[in-house]
Amino acid sequence: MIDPIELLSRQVPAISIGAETRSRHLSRIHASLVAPVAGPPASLFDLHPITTSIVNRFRSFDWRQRLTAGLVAFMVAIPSAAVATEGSQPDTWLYPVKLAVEPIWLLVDDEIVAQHRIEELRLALRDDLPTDALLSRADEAVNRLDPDSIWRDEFALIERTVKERAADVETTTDTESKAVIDSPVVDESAGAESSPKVDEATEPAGDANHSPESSEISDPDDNGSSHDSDDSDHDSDDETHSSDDSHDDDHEGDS
Amino acid sequence: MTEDLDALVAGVVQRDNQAFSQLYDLLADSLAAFAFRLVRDRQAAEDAVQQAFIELANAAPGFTGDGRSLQAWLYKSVRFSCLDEFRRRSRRPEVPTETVPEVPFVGSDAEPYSAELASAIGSLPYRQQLLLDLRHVHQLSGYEMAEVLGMTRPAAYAALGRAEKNLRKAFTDAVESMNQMASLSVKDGEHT
Repeated sequence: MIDPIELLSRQVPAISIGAETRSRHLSRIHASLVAPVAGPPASLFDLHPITTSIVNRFRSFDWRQRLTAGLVAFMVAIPSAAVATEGSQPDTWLYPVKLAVEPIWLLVDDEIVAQHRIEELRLALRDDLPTDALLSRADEAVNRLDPDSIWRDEFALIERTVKERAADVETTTDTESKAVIDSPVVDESAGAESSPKVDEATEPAGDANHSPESSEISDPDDNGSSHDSDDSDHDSDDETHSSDDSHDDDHEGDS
Repeated sequence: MTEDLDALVAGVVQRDNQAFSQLYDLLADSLAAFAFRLVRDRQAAEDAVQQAFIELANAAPGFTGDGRSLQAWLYKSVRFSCLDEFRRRSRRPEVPTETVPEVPFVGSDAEPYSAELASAIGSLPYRQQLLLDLRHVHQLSGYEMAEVLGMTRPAAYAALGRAEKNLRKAFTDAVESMNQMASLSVKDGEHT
């Protein structure tokens, strides 16, 4: 068998530059030799600068390279976005990205959306009551799951907590609003008469700050010193009566 | 060849017309064949050769090196000119491939197994084809190959070794398939 390397070495390039081309080339080369050299010798990289822009380089890719580049970018960008937006809340700017990435997550994990919504609810519960929009979104996401999914139980638990807390908040706000309505009477007018109502509603009985004067005044059923005052009134009435009697006596005397 | 080049270096550095003419006569055909393998266009190949000599005329005063370096410099310049041509073509409509001729070699039809060799070389990656061409057709050294292709010398030798191994395998396969086809055609002839 003949060695192909040996065979290749015996081959001679068939291109030979013709006489006319040779003379044309040499005349141009000699002309460039006559011209003065502008500066220090340039490197070949300077003589052949790569001026192609990044866009042009991308255009020069064939479709396989473009597809590969696109796939690589996709594989890097999507998980990065998914990780970066994992803990974002509805009021943050990353939240729309999180929502946009979720359909892709769904290809891998069909419970991810419900999980996200419930985590958002938990975070909202930690600070405040979650909004109705959050609750309805979570409800929607959970309803798409299997009936035996653990997220359904989680959601039910959160929903119960929300209702309980909402009920608490309602009672608190009712009493507070009452206090707000009554309080101007207490503060601005003579007030001592109506203040006990506020104390009864907002503070437990036997409050340490409860003043003895106010309790005396406040309790309408109390039979204490107020009766004394009534008695004194009666006394004064008696005195007047007595004075009247004296008048009568005077009249009798006159008569 | 190397001695001739070494003798011309001093004249080239002094930008001597005679030295440039001799250098052109010595290397222009090989450079044109190399350029033709790259661009597959005779006119573009000749233009690349002329451009390489003009660039050498401009850069000659600062040239430091021997004949081998000078040869490598010219091959590298031709390669760069061809890459420029590629870039220009990428912005222009492509030349239809049907009109592009194959790389011609003197006596390629006369040599036995030349068709199998052409087929085997054609099946190799482009860089391996270039390495085989530079080494075995243009007789460049490892240093020159590395210079022309922008590689380190060990990398160039390693790549050349892989190219030679692949060429031998591809050549054997090509010869075997040719033999099978020949035997089949003989059998067909006997049947008819």
